Amino acid sequence: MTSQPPPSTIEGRADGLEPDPALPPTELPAAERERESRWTLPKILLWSAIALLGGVAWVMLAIVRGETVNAIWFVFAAVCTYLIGYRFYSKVIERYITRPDDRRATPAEVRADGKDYVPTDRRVLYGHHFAAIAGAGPLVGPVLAAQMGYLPGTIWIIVGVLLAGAVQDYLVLFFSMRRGGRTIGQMARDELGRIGGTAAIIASLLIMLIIIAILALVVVNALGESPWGVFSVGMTIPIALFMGVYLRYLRPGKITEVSVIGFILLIAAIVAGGWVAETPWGAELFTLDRTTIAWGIIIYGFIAAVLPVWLLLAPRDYLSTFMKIGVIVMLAGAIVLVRPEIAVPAFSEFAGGEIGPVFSGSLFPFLFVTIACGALSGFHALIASGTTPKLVEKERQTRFIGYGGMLMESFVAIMALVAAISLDRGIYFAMNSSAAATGGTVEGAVAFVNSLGLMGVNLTPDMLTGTAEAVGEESIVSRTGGAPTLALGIATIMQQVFGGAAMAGFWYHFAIMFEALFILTAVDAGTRVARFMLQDSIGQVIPKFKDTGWRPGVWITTAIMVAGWGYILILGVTDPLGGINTFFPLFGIANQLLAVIALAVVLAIVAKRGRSYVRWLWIIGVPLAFAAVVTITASMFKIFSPVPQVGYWANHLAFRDALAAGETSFGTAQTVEAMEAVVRNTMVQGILSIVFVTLAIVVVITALIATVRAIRAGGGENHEDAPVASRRYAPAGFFATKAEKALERRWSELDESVRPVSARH
Amino acid sequence: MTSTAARRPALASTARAGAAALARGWRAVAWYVRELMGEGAYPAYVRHHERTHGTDHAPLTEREFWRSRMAEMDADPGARCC
Repeated sequence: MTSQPPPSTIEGRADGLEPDPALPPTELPAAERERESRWTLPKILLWSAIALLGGVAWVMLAIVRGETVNAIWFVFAAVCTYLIGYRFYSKVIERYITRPDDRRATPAEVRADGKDYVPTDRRVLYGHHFAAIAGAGPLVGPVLAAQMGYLPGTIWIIVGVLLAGAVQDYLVLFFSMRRGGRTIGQMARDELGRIGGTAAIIASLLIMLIIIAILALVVVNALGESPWGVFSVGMTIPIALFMGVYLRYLRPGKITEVSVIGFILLIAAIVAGGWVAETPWGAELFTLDRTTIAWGIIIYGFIAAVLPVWLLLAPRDYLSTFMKIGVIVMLAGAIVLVRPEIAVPAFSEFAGGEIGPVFSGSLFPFLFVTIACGALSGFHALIASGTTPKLVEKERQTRFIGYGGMLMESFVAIMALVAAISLDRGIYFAMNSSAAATGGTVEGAVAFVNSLGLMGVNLTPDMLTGTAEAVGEESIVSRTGGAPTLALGIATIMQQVFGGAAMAGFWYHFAIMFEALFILTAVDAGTRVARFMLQDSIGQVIPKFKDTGWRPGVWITTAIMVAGWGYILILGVTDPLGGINTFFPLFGIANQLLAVIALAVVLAIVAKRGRSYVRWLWIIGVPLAFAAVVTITASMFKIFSPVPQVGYWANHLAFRDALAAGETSFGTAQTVEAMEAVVRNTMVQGILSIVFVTLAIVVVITALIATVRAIRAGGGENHEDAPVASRRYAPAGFFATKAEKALERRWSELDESVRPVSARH
Repeated sequence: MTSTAARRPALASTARAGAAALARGWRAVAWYVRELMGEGAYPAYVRHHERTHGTDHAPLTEREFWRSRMAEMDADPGARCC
């Protein structure tokens, strides 16, 4: 662009940020910060107690392991470890990597426009950010991972978030904020050049499609043959339409009010679903097979993505935020009150092998891929580089919002794990083994699960029929996808607090609704985002496509994107091998590969900041290396493993050879069509695996080249916005310290005409 | 006698303080929920408008504001997470 030499590195604090002498300081003076962070006796006692409690909890989980272990230890182990990680490790990152400077104005302050860029209260932004990152992923992944016992999943969710997931979220948020809220794709292009940047953008587009398809598959599996579920989830559409009209024409801006109304209608829809499913006409009308539901979601996805957002997307977003925060708080309370005893072993019989019925593959790397969002989620890089950085009020708040927000997501994953492992193991495996294994019948499931030789498991037909009846479902056999298992776990815990056994059906469908709501919103919004990316790409060649108001262009690009994820969804629904267990690894791999891309971009950014950062690059290098090894190994297993249950191509070849030999049934595929379906599905899965891993390797290599070059040169080009002096102040963490409060008071005593405006009252 | 007489106003003032604390707590929760749901966007816009444009031109009405906001969201919805 310009012929000037690259701007200097960012070793010290920026110059030229002379504070306005008429204003109080815009940052807490270093001496004050120092004084407040000094260790005092009460502080030492408090942190010793936290460390001790956390340590005891880990001992209870990992070493004592009696017959059963109480769920409360999971809560203590998680919360104490998070507190220690937040208090100590995130501060190391702040001190040596991000080095925030509160004298600098954030984009929200510099570009304040009252709309997109608004300095927002940190506690509110924390909630916004959490609601944007939390979805169905952290709920579903841990449920499937419970196949291997509770300990591997628990360790990865808690340790992984401290060292990987929260680090990624925090750093992406911070660096995007320093760049005026640029997206991870734009940052990749800036830092890695054309090849790396393009690979990153194609990878995120493809990953978005696969994620939508597999989330939709989770919903389809939860709603198949379930008239109650279909009715109540279907009712969310008219409820959202009503809310949209209410907000548009009746009472604009009354979001809380309409959300409360919507929530009440939602509860009514769940209760009514129970009655409707009992009636003969209701059962007939709403008992749909999974293929029909999949087509319904595809058609819905297209219509929802071309309708104006105020009508469907925005109101359902409000509903989903309302439900998300409410249910998570409620579930945490219920787990603490009920404290279920967990009988699942720390390491199950499947932890050592690679052919478990829920997902196949060995613990390393597939456990890390399956848990996905709760420990490290690449998708968060899209959120942390989207809306949130444009709303941050002060630089120092990014630690609380980015790192802290991800800790909360990890806690959600722990709760999902607890809900899943509080179930009887026999029921867990009957629900999560594919119909190919159980035959979809109670007898088949009982025979299959009892033949697994699981310790302490003696499944009887009564257990399965009784549980299904209690939650108002026809059957709970082979309800794969994680959502029904989680719903049953939540129902079992919640009914002990509210309503007893009579309410089990309500709580089960409440939980299904809660998950379906997020997923449908993700499907709708994801299709729109993918469509914009496509419009933008086609627009490079045919400029008319860039015009987002041109309806034919909108329809064509939406149809292409819906066809993309719809195809994968239909493959998953009709998969003779069970669907979720073969497709979910693709979701996990895709999500973690996005994390690898995000961490690689951040690594290059930090290396370019200058020499004093090189010593601390391991903070990014360790999670990057781990995630890269996990995902690339998992991809290699999926591509090259000779075990048909694990390797897509091995399975592809096995079925193709069987067809060529003229066989009419092979493995769990009973017909020639089913065998052909397996051949086709494994090919799609195999190709996607190859494409993902290739794109990710390209990005990592370009990032490593950029990093090494920057280390050799002692820094690199600085793409941050030029520093502008801030003219406002706000505390950094959730609670303001004494000195922060005092400084805040000085600002609030300023004359109205000079006091900064904010979204605070 | 004297002690009960002395206690009564003390009790009343404790009750008053408790009620005030409850009311404060309720207001804080209500504020948080409203802000979290995004209801504060319009007041924030109005404050911003007053500060930067003063009385040059009137701010959008609440209805216009939400319409333009939805139109912008139509153009760029932003991803939701998995």
